Amino acid sequence: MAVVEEKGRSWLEVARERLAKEHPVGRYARTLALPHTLCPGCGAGTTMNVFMHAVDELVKEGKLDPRKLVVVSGIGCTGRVAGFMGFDSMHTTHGRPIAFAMGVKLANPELKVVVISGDADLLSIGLNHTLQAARRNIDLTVIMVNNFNIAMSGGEPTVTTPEGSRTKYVPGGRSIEKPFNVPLLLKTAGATYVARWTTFHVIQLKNSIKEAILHKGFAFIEVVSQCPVLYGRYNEMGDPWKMVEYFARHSRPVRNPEKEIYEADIRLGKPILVGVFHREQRPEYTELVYKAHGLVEG
Amino acid sequence: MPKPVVIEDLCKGCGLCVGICPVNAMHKTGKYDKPLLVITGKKFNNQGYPVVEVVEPAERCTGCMLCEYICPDLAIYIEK
Repeated sequence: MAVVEEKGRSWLEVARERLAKEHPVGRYARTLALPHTLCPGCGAGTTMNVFMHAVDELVKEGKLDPRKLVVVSGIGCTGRVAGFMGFDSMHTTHGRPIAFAMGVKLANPELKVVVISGDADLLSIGLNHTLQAARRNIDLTVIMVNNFNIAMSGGEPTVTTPEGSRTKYVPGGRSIEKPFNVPLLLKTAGATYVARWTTFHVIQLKNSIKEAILHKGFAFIEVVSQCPVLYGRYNEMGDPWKMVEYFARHSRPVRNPEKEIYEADIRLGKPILVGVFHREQRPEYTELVYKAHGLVEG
Repeated sequence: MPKPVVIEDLCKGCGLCVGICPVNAMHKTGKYDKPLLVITGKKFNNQGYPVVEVVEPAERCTGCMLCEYICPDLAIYIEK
């Protein structure tokens, strides 16, 4: 196994060139940052891949200009994802990606702004920004990768850790707190598109991301994701596929979202409800701001 | 005919594509005598990970794109 290949190019350069030239979405990847630093089998990587495919399809359908797409992310394992993609991107401070994204959107309303970040970033330290942006119904697409723990700093419990599951640094070994019911929380705050999928539902997730990007208003997608290394190993799911298989076996599509949204919190041994929970049309914040300041005619 | 192609030096051997592949699932129920994607643990890439291999004949691939979508490392794609 030669580390240096012929023509003086390393295997890494060859692999990056193959990715850029051969892979269907390789042209959207920031090849200098790949292979990325995420663990093998990370759900954040799957979300990134599906997002790139969704953007690719929108570009091919002529509904999106990739040069007018901005990806913003915060801190955490998922916070690194924006740096692996070749779109205009921002890697912002912990918990504040939505605040930065609102600034981008208000400064230039032509841009499509997408926030990809983790559960601890958006719902724990950045909860206030998330709820306020949902209340204002600003035209953002927020993709939250929910991996049940704060993975980057070592696997501490967070606001989405299911009750009774094992994480590090919990007195007694098992989490005693009730997690957030994320779809209900965001719907109550005023988000106009709320959906939840798992990393097993890749096709549905891709279609949902496409719909959310085209949706005018605050769109929120929760991606229930595996963290085999820092969550799965302590909960008898150390293999990436074992955890995705758990999602496949324990999820069911939501049939009556108006009623079932009240039972949408994730509990061990209970089905994970997936699907689109809420869709509505409300006046969008950027347009209201520009109208109030007299910056647009009419 | 669609067939899966692996960019071996990007693969981290996580096994998500092996798990989600419908042909592998049909192999478990006895329709096919061989799976389509396997990690044998005998072939390693330059990163040091065991890589996923495509078992011939690759024409059994249905082109469902699930492995391409689920790969966290952009290491596998369907050639159409």
